[in-house]
Amino acid sequence: MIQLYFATGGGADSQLESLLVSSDNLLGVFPVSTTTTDVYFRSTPILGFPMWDRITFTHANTTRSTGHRCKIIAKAIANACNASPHAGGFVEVVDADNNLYFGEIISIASDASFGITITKGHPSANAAAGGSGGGKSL
Amino acid sequence: MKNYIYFAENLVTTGGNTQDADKACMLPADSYLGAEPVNATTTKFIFSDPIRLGSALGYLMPRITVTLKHANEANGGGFKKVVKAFGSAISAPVSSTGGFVVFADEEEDNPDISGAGTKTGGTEYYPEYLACGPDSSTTTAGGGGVRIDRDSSYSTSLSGAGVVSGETGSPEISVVPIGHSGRMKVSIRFDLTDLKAANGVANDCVALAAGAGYLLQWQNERYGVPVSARMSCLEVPAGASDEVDLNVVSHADDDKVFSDALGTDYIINGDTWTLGKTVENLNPTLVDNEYLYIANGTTTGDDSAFTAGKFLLEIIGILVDSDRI
Repeated sequence: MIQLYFATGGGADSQLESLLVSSDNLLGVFPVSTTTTDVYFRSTPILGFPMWDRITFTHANTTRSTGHRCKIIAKAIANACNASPHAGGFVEVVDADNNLYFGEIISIASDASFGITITKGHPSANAAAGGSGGGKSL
Repeated sequence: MKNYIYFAENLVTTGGNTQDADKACMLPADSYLGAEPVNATTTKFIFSDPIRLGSALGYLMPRITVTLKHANEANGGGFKKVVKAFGSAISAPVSSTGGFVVFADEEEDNPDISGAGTKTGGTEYYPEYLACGPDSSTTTAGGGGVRIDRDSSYSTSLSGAGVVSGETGSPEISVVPIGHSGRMKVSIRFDLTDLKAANGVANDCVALAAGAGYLLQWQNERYGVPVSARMSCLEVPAGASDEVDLNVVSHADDDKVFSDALGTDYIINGDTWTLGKTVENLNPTLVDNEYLYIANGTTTGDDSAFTAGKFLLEIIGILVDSDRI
């Protein structure tokens, strides 16, 4: 198990400016828009309700040039989760306070828009398109 | 140490928990649930969806499906070879993959997707899947050889057209085996919004103005012999002239519509519903192949529409033949 460290660059001295999560809790990586990518980690359930921690990467729009940045981010996250034993159990994936970036994230950290934000939430029942959920015949 | 599997459609734009589907995703290998052939040249992979609930009415487990188009068996593809390639991908040594396994990344410019000369690296497929002949011949965005969708472990296609809520759509029905005992739990979540209270006639069908009003046809072969039924009120009914006394009855016919008489074969005799109230019936006289309907409980309602009212109906059945799970 690897501890993954994220810091937004705000000084890591208040809530949601920094986060330490376990690699075992990685749920997935998804593009959100052409300029954002989300990384989800399972968090502590509240009253039995599943919760997650979310790292939102903001980056350049390369969808119609070199390809969406989500692949670079996904690869770096997967590599970080498997960085043992050389990492000593701790990986700074994004430490914007100290300009430390793991793997190929360093190649996109120079994007003018690059940055991360940390949010907490829970799985959404109501998706943008209406939320009725795609039914499937049993 | 484990692998994470990456998929991407031909144009990667959106995704995440506020969207209905993702144009790319990286998922842990252990979120893989299974695969099924769609046809000779199409295979669907199913993963648990970690970021969506998938249901407008409740917390039913959603799924992410990845549909891949490939060559048929005679040309090096086919379902078996494709899933064998996938098995190889998810179990590949992490020491060689670094934990990141691209199984099917179709993101690239094509005649319908332009804006740049070439995506860096072009398309990328896991070597054993590449041998199965990935089919990228369809070049429209989202219509190529990799398609990522959202799916749910419930059905919205088992009810009549007369019970489609104006707020949440058709009733959501899930069927889940309980352990290995042969017990099956059938859960029906429904919403009364826009349905009508049967002109205030007790035991008449509550439904839209048109369309069959059944929730589900009970089938012992699929759901087992029904041994208990319970219904819970998740939102108190409103509208329909304050009708809050509703029942669920069974009927032999599937063509009962709004205000049709349904009889008195009560599966749930609800009386006045209040928030959180649950009514249980440990001897549901639900006959094989009969249909479940919502019925008016009293003469209070009129033919105006409900504006609210959510319920969860749960029926336990026990499979009795060799199909026991």
